[in-house]
Amino acid sequence: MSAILLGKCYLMTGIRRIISIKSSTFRVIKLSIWIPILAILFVLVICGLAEATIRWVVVNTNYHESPSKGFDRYILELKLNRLDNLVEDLGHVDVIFLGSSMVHRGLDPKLFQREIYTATNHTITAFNLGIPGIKSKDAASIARVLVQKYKPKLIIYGISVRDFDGQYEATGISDNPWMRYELGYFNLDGWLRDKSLAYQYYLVYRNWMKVDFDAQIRQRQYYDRVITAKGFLNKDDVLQEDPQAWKESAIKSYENYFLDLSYVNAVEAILQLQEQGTKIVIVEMPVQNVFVQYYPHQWKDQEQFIQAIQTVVSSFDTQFLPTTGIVTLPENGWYTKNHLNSIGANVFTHWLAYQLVTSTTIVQALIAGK
Amino acid sequence: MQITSLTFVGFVVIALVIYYLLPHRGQNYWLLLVSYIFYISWSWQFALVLIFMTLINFILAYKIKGGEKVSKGILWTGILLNILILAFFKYSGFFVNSFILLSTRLGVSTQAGGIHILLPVGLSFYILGSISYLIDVSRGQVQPVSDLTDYALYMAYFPKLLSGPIERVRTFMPKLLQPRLVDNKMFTNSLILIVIGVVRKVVIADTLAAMIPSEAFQTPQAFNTLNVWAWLIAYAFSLYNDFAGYIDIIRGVSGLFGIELSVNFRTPYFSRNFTEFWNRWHITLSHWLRDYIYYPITRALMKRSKKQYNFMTIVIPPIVTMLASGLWHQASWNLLLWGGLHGFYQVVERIPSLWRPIISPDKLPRWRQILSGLVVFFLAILAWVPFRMGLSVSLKFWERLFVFTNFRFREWRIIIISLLAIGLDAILYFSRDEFVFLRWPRPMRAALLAMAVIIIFLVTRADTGLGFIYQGF
Repeated sequence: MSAILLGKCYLMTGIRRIISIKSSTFRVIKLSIWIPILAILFVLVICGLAEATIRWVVVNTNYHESPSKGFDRYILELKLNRLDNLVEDLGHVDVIFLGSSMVHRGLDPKLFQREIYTATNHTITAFNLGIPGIKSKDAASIARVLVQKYKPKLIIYGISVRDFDGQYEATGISDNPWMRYELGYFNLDGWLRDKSLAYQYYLVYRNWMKVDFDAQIRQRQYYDRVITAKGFLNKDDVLQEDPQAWKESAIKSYENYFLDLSYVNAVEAILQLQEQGTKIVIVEMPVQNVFVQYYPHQWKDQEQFIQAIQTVVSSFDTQFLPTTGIVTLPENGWYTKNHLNSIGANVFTHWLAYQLVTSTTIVQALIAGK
Repeated sequence: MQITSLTFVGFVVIALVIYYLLPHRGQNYWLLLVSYIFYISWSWQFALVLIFMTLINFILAYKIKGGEKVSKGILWTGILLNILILAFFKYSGFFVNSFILLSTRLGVSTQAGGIHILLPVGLSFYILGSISYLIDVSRGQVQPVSDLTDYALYMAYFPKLLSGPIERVRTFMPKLLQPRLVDNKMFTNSLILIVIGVVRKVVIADTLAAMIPSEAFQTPQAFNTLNVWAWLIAYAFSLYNDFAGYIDIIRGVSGLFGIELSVNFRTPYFSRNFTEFWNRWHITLSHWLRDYIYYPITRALMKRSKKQYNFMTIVIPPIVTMLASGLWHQASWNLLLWGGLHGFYQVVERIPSLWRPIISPDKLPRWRQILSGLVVFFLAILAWVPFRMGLSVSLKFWERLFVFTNFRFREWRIIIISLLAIGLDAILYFSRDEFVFLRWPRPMRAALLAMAVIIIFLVTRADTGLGFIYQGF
């Protein structure tokens, strides 16, 4: 004890000595702090006025453009916006579909709600948070935020081989300041993105100086129009692209595919969120059999992926629903060989709801919890 | 370590805190250490080259002024050695690749696959500093530096290491040798420079650069004339504000250490002739070229003729000087063209001096000054074309500028930001004081600072992430 006191004494003496050293170079004395103080006041006034103006405009006019959290992927923030509105209107969300573009196009939340209601006579609220381009590490960050912020009862995570492709890095969604703020890492930028409507609307136009700004805004507005209130892309279209060119592009994109275990570990991180009260179910998103031929080792890669996920899931009290060779989808139900359109989504959502109701106790638990 | 990064801010803060606590001599050693740490953060190999150049030139200076007689032989050896080292790193690729191209065109096959040598960042700048030191020693304008650490600090001083300004030993060494003082004025001026520098770089330069499609400088013939003009203007202001912004930031940082660096830009786009332009653009380089190339050639030519202004003294010095400037920037035919153009502009300006005295632009009527300014700006931005693009694309670009297609114009954003850039420079030009903002009323200064902070914050939300253009030289 006396050693500690002695140490503290020496430390304080040292600090006092350093502070008392007068610098022969730095001779700034009585520097006026009025300019910085006035500047801070100006900043607060300008920001306050901007915030008040934007809130007045949004409330009192027909301005319905979705604000932004500054993600590169505007589909993510459009959907987060819709999810916020849904939870604000209804007070809760029960089921969230999470995954890549395959989920974005492949799972219809409105239909899912109807199927569950038909089977159980209970109303649930579902939302589609499929985000094109994300990988399992991105999904893990998003899932953490979903569980913390919205506390859904069930997350259905749709996966495929591409989510674990080690050729490509994760999108870096978790580096977004708002994501870091939501994950508990306070930062001023993230706080502003969460609280300030003026800032959120500025972020919509933050790339105003970029060459492709007009195209970006048009595409954002297009998705703002076509994505439903429950986050689904309800289009029965088929990709209009030369089939040979598409095939070559698909083969090339999987050329050096390998199963990256760090991405598989991200699934484990998602499943661990069950400890916070949210049930997680993993479902394999369907692809056409011919698509499996594009993997470098074809069915071996497919089997390796299934096995890896089954191994991870076996440690948790949950379900993994594979679909290859199990689900039959109509020929006109495909947008591309690995993406469903709304026709295919119709069939697949029905199948998924049926599986969850009949083969698992998950839906019963979901309803019981209401 | 980019100077607009938080890492650099942290680096400077730590360096400053310790610096202020040290005595004068200790400050020099500390600055030398942090300068090398800064340089090694780019590459330890670069630091080795710098150490080698420091030692060589330190020794050579002593050899030049070793006895009573100045050794011209050693001087020229030193100059050639510096040039050879610069040539090795900077120009070997150009000459080998040009040789390969010529051989191929002559039908002679070569096995060589070209050559790529990494150019140490800042080499072009500190080599000029070394050469000026050796020449100044030989002229008796400066004594050889007696302490190796002082000379090493002159060479490696981190604010000016990467992209200048090109300081001369005779003006810079006294600042290193005398005790420094950072008083209220120096402190505030330094902060002003840093803020203005960040606005130039982030708000003006990066924003304008983001507005130019990359294809504009590859296939200009695919675009319409008015937009191509807009992109050229955007490039002109972007290049200027990028470099001037960088210099302002590092002058501000250096000021916090109590060491003033030379002004390198003085609103060059307000110049009324090209002599003035080169006294306002990259001033330290221009003055180096003037003192070590232009004046010696002029003096040599004047010895052959009784007249001060004759055809030879009007043509040869500016052409040679500006070709050297082009070559210094980059060993490429398009940069030589850029230099040649500027040389040509100066020749044309001076031709009237053969039959009448040179009139200072200040003495011209106002309307002629404005007209001259517009012409200089117009010709200067035309010369940026080969500065930016290869030869064949430059010709296509010029053609697109003057062969009008349709009159659709959509680059209003460029006009707005360019007007902001012109406005900032207009304030500095007409006040003739780069710290004019300090004389404004307090509320205006506070409002300006607030706007700068907000605009910098908002603009940096976009994903531009551009480096500094002149760090490539």
